[in-house]
Amino acid sequence: MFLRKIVQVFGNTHETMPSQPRDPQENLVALITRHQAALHAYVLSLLPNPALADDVLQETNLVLWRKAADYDQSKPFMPWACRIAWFQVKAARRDASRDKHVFDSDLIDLLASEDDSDLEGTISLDRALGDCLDQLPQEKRELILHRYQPNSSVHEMATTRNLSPGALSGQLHRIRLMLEACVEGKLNQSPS
Amino acid sequence: MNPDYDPQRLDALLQGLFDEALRDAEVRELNATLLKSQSARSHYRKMLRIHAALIRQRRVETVVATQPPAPVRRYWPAALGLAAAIALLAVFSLSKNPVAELTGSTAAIWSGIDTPSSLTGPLDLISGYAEITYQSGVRVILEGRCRFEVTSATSMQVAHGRASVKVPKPVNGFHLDTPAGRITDLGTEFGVAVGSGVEGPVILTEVFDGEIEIPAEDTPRKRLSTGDSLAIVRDRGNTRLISTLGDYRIDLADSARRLPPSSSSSLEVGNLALGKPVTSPAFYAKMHGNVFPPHTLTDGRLNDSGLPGDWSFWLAPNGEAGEFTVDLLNAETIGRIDLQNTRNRTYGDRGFREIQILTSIDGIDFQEVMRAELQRIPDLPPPGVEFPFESFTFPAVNARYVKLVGISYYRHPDRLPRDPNHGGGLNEIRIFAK
Repeated sequence: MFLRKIVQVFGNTHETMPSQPRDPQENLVALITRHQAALHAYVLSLLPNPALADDVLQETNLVLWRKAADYDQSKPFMPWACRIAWFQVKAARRDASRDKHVFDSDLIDLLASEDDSDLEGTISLDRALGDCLDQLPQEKRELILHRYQPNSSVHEMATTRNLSPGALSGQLHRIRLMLEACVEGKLNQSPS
Repeated sequence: MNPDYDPQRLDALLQGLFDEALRDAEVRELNATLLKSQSARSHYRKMLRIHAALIRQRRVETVVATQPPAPVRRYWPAALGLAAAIALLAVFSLSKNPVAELTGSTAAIWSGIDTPSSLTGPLDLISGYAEITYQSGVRVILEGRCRFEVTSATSMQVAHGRASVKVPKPVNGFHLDTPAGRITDLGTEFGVAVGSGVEGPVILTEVFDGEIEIPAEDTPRKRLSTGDSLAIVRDRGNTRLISTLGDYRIDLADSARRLPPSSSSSLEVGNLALGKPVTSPAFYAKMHGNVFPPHTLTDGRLNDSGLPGDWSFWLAPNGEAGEFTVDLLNAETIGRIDLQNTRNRTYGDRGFREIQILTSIDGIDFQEVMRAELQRIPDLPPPGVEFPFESFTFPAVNARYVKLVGISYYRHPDRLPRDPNHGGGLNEIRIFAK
């Protein structure tokens, strides 16, 4: 769904003849494409509800694209894009019911105000995570991948494994911690 | 370092957050912890980025977990060995027991041969349809013009052209290799059109039933399921996926999923226009091979067929009825013009309505010979069935140049007036003495 939404947004952007110089919108499409993973991570960090974050990312892409003319190409892309994403997060919080809010608005403001320079390296992070998943023992890899399959639920996974949901969730989180350490190591090794 | 929060407790809360199991009190506790401590927020960000990356990875890994891998991935080394062994076996058995056979064709013309006796090496199907059946039961329908090669018992390479693939249920892991990468079947029926844009290959792909895996942009592979259609665009070494071409959703609805019955092609003997140059002041042209130049009007290809970069019909730019001129290269006596309208493939939003036909000896002074109204092509006929040609006769004139000027055109009947996607267009023009 995530990727599909992105391409849906980008579908309307191929208006320009290829022989013409790149216009701001076309340049911006390339930037938006390159920063999808980073924007996803940013939005999810403020709105830790995957489905809601997907919707906000889609909205953000549209707004970024519409505002192509406002983007100053001499300035870095992410701060500008994050500010727009932040407004979309706020709008989504206004629209979504209260029980979908995990974070209070003052925490969101605080999180958004802090510079998160790691976001720029999200593509390298995805690559490193792929390698780290490869290195996991098969059983652990299958477990964590199963958890992130669409429609999978911890409850159901626990039932089929004769575990309590809490115990299974604990196992999953230990795998996340292992992956985090592994990714951190890889990113420090080769800063790309 | 002495953190100003309880690391274990924070991880317990994050575990609940990521697995959607936080109670109200824990939500409040998490908020308070993160609000209070900068290092807690830093740990949250580190863990969140892993959680987010796993969400992004899931579609790729789902495929890997249930299927033998594509060679570029490093998962399941045992399965990879098995796949290699099968491929090797296929090569060895190729001479004795063909892995695939030509099991039928309709109006097929092959380059350099009448009918291929074996399916070794690359083959060119110039026009018509061919059915290739693999020993495994996989069936591929190819539509000319198509360049392809049976590369193993479980794969085919399509360098150019249209193909639809049906893989019976028990078979797993059939691959279609294209210039933009490998499309892996996951028990399915799907179609591809391998064409090109200005900067590189453009592959249209649509899943009719089941699931396939295609090359993707920010993940190694992407999964498509029934009804999904995307274009795989490769330019400057990057793979991108787009869901629309120009202004249109990608749709292969006119691709042949079965070998079409043979139908007599409408008579073309004496067509003075075939292969002759055509000019038009403007035509519809957008990125990724969504271009409809005028030479397609006399190329002998019908029915809104073709591929990105190589469609069989001409379209005027948005909002214009458009015009074009055929140069017969010599002055000829002409008294009849046959026109095959377009509907712009499945979209049904373009095509000439009223037209004016003019002729000229010198290409400067044009005389009107008649005005006419073309029929709308309401529906896309099944593959192999031709759009109708309409004949227009007039008192014979001597002319080298024949100009068609659009006066009006057919729009999509249901679209809003502000929709920009409409204009004139035509599939083919044939010019006869009488």
